[in-house]
Amino acid sequence: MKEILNAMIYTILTMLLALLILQDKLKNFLHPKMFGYVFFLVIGLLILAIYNWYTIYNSRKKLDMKNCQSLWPYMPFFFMMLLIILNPTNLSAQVVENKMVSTVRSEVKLEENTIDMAQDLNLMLSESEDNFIPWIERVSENPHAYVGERIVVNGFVYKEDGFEDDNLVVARLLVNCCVADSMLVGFFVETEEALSFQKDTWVQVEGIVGFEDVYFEHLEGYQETYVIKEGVIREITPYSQPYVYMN
Amino acid sequence: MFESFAIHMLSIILEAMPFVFLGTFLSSLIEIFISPEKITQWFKEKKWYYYLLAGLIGIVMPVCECAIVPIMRRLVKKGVPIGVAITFLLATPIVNPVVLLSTYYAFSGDWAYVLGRGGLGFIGAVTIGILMGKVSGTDQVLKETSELSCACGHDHNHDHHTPTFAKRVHHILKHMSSEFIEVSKYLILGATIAAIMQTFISRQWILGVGNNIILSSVFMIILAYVLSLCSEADAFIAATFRNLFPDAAIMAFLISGPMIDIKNTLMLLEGFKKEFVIRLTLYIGAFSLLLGLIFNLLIS
Repeated sequence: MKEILNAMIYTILTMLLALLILQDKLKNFLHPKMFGYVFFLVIGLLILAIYNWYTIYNSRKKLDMKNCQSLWPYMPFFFMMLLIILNPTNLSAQVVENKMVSTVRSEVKLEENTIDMAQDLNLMLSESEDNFIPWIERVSENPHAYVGERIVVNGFVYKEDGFEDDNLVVARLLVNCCVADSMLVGFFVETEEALSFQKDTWVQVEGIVGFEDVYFEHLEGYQETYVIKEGVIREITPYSQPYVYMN
Repeated sequence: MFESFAIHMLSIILEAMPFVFLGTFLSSLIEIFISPEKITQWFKEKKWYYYLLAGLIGIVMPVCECAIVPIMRRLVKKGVPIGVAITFLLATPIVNPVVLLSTYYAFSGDWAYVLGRGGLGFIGAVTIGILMGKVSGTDQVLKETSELSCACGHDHNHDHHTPTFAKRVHHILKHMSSEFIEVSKYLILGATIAAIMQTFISRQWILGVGNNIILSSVFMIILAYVLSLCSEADAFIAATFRNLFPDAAIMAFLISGPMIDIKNTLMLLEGFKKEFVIRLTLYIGAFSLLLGLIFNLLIS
């Protein structure tokens, strides 16, 4: 029984993970840089599946198919496989709120390895593209270099207690390795239209960037923060998933 | 909420499982190619520098905490002194260059955090290894299984010393088949608990801890334990707490997270006695707190 169960676990797991890769669903769970490891895992599991069926086929022992007690150790695998089959895709808004929030601040740099500082500071990105990560990368590297620039970013609306009526954050979930370690990253927006947009609405924000002291309730104080001022907001079709991936 | 839980759980498993697979592969190679006699011969004299070497292996062997558990279990079963194996287990996921590089980026090039994490993590791993080595013998920490020499859960009618390549490949695959299932089921259980925590722990609750240096450090150690983040990514999460908690708490998180978390605890419990795993977990918690406070003193 144990031999059969091992072979079945390896076979089904190989198939489910291969399907995740083929249907391009890994991005719902992992940063693309991790895909290669899963590919390597699928190859390894396939080898173990073939090996287990091969040894069962060649075994001279009579297989004991009655010992159902031995099913219990495999329950975690059955549960995991069931979850993959259920195909979860969307994080609930409440869970997203539990993530720590990071807005661009004067003294904070989120990362700094991807920017070519020789780039033209006035380079404007196409509005049809998803500009969120390029902008986060640029202003995180050197926030003061972009003060006064026009910026266009897409994301979902995030608000928290203590925000003024004309404040919101246009945010995305930044994935470092997997969704479990993701965090909310966003631009603070100052606009008279803020009240018209509810949390989690997908929007495109256009405005001029600069610094301003913003009060954060959880910090119990003001902090100099990068703000999109005079923001013009329009609702857009929600993206299939809220993630952006750190380069 | 259930969908969010499922996404968190599967993402933790999919991130960790390839490294568990790699760990069981390396563990099987050790089982097949290195005899207990050879290990005994290497470690027959007690040398202080074994601990230093075990703590530095991570620099040239950049594996994270998921891959290291099966390798460490195998080394202990083969006869590596328990203290040296623990130092290897705790230091490797911290001193490895990928982890230190991610810490550098997450903390915007702040070398204090990079050197503090690497240096204090190394010191903590060596100290805990020496202490645990003093209070535990190998025969006292391993679970009393009939397969003590191998512990892969399958029958042992095979001959480990067979010279042919095909036989060796057969034995490696046989060991891997059993061990991967054994270790992975605990990984899945650990990921389940971690995903429940990630889904239901409210940010307001986290922020309610306040700025007390001891309380916030203990809180961050517990948080690192229950979130079970990969050591190559946890620095980015730690960095988001920088404005909320003292440096001691951030460093305690950075040191304790790679050393022990829920999924590692469960994977360790598969091969080691409960008392040993609990003692190791408590030592790691206490030393992470202490090292965090030392870091606070050093940079203030």
